[in-house]
Amino acid sequence: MIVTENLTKIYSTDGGIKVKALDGVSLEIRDGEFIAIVGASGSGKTTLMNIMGCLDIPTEGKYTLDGADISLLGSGELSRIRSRKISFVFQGFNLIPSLTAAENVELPLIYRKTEASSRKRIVTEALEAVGLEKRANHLPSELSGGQQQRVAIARAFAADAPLILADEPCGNLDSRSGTDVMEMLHGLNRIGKTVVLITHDEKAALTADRQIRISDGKVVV
Amino acid sequence: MTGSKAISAFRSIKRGKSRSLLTLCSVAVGVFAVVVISGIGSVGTREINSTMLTMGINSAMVEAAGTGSGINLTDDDVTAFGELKGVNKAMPLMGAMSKAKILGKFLNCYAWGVDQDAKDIISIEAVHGRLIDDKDVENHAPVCVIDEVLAEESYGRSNIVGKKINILLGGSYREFLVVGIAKSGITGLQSVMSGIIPDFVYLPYSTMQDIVGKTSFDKIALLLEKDAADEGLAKTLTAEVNSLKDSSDGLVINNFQSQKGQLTDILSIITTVLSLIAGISLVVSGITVMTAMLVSVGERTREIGIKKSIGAGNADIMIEFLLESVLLTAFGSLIGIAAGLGACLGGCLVLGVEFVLPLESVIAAFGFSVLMGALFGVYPALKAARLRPIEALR
Repeated sequence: MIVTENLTKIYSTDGGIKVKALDGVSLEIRDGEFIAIVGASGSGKTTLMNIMGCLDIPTEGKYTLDGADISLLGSGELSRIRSRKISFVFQGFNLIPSLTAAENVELPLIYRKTEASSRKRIVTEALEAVGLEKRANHLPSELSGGQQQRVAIARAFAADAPLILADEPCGNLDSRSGTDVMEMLHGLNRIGKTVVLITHDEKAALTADRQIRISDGKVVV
Repeated sequence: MTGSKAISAFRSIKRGKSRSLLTLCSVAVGVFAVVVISGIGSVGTREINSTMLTMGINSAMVEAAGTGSGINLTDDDVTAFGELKGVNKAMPLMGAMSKAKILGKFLNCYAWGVDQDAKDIISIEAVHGRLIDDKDVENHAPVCVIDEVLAEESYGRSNIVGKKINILLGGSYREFLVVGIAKSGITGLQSVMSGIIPDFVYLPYSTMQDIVGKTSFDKIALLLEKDAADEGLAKTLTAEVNSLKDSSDGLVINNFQSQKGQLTDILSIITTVLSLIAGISLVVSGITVMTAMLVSVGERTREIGIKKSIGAGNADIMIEFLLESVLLTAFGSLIGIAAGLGACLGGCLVLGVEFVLPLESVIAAFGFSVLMGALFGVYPALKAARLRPIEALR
C-alpha cells in the first residue's frame, strides 16, 4: 500500500531559484490497483513517480510504502526496497546498451542475489511472456522501440516486484506497440501487481481503475 | 554473483576499446620494463654463478694488503704456502696492464705471468694449442697463451697458434710466440679483476720477471683442498701466511667465491634499483587506469542510474568498477609479462645464454600492478557508487 501525506518537493536551480515540483500531494494507492497519474508536461507527475520509486526523497511530507516511512531510510535501504518491491518501465526504455535482452532482464535478479540456475528459467519465462524469446540474445540496438519496451516489461516481470511504476511507457512507441505494452501492463496487474501509470495520454489513462490528476504539483481530482 | 560482475566488467572493458587498449598498453609497458630488467638480472646472476661454480671454486690469491706493505713474495713463499695444511698447490703470479700489437693493431690487455699449474689454479682452458708448461718457465721462453677474443679481434679467427705477436712489457714491445689460445669468459682471474679487463695474455712468470726486472711475485695463487669460501679455512690461512712472512696483516687472501658474491651483490643492487625505477611506471600506469575509469564513470552515468533503479546498491556498483580497473591492470600485466619474458627469451637465444625465469619479479610485478589497479580504481568506483540514482538517470 502506498500512502503519501502532504508530499512536497522543491528543487533549487543553479541560479538559486526554488521550483516547487510537488506541492502537498496526499494520496493512497491500494495493493493490486491499476492507477493512472495524469497531467500535462511539467505538472510534477514524474517527480511523484521518482519519490514513489524511492529514486528521490521528498523535501517535506511523508511517503509510506507497505508501512515503511521511506523518508527515514538510507541509500542502502532504499536500494533494497527498489530491488525487492519496485520495477520501473521508463519512456526511454532504460536498457543497458551493452547487454543483450536476456542479460537486461537478468540484471535485477543478479542484484537480488537470485541463484544462477533459477535466473535462467525466470529470464526465459519473462521473455516468453512478452513474446521475445527468439530475441533473447539481441542487443537493444538490434530491437525496435516496441521490442525494447517489451524487454523492459520482461525485466519488470522477472523482478517480480509488487509495484510497477510505468512512466509514459508508450510515449516513444507507435500506436500498435503502445497498445501491446498497455495490454502487458494490464496483464501484470491481473496477476496481482500494483501498476502506477504516469501518462498525459487520456486514452491510456482511461484503461486504469482510477485516475489521479496532477496540475502544478497538486492533486486536482 | 561476482562472476556476473566480472563478466559485466569485462564487457565494459571491451566496449571502450580504444581507451581500454591505451590503458592496457600503459600497464603492459611498465610491467614489461620490470620483467625485462629482472630477467637481465636473473640471467646475469645465473651466468656469474655457473661460471664461478666451475672455475676457481677451490682457488684463492695471496697478495699484499696494500701498496705500502713492503712484503715481497718469493719462490720460497710459493713452496712454503704450498705446504700449508689445506693447500694442494701454490703458483706464482705476475700481473701488468699491457697492450698487444697484433697485425698492426694495438689491443688493450692484461698480461699474467703464470706457470704450468694455471690450468688447475686459475682455471684457464686451451681451445687451441697448449697452455704454459714447466719447460717454458724453466727456459724463460718468449711464448704466450692469449684469449680467444684477442685472436678474433686481430686475425678474425680464434686459432692463431704459431703466430708471433708483440706485447708491451717493461716499457717496450717484445715478441712472443703464440703457443695456445685460452677460452675467453669470466675466468677466475677475470673475476678478481672485477671484469674490467676483458682480454688476457698469459706468459711464463719467469719470462715476465726478466722483462720487468723483478725477482719477487705480485701474488701467489693457491689451489685449496676444499671450497675457498670456507671462512674458517680462509681465516686460518691468512693467519698462517702472515705468520710465515712475519707480518700481522700485510697479506690478505681473496677467494673467487667472495668475488662472485661481490659481483652478484652489485648486480642484485643494480637490478633492484632499476626495477624500482621501472616500478614507478607502474604507479604512473595506475594513475592512467584511474583517469580511464573516471572517464568511464562519466560516460556511464546513465547506466549507473538504470542499475540503481533496478536494485543495484552502492556496493554492487563499486565492485563492478573496481573489478573493471583490476581486470584492466591484470590483463595489462599479463601482456607486459608475456612481452617481457619473450624479450628476455629472445635476448638469451641471441646471446646464447640460458634463460632464467625471474619468477619472483614476475609475481611481484603482477601483484603490484594489480594492487595499483585496485588502489587507483577505488576513487572512480566510489564516485560511481555514490551517484544519486535520480541524478544519474537525468
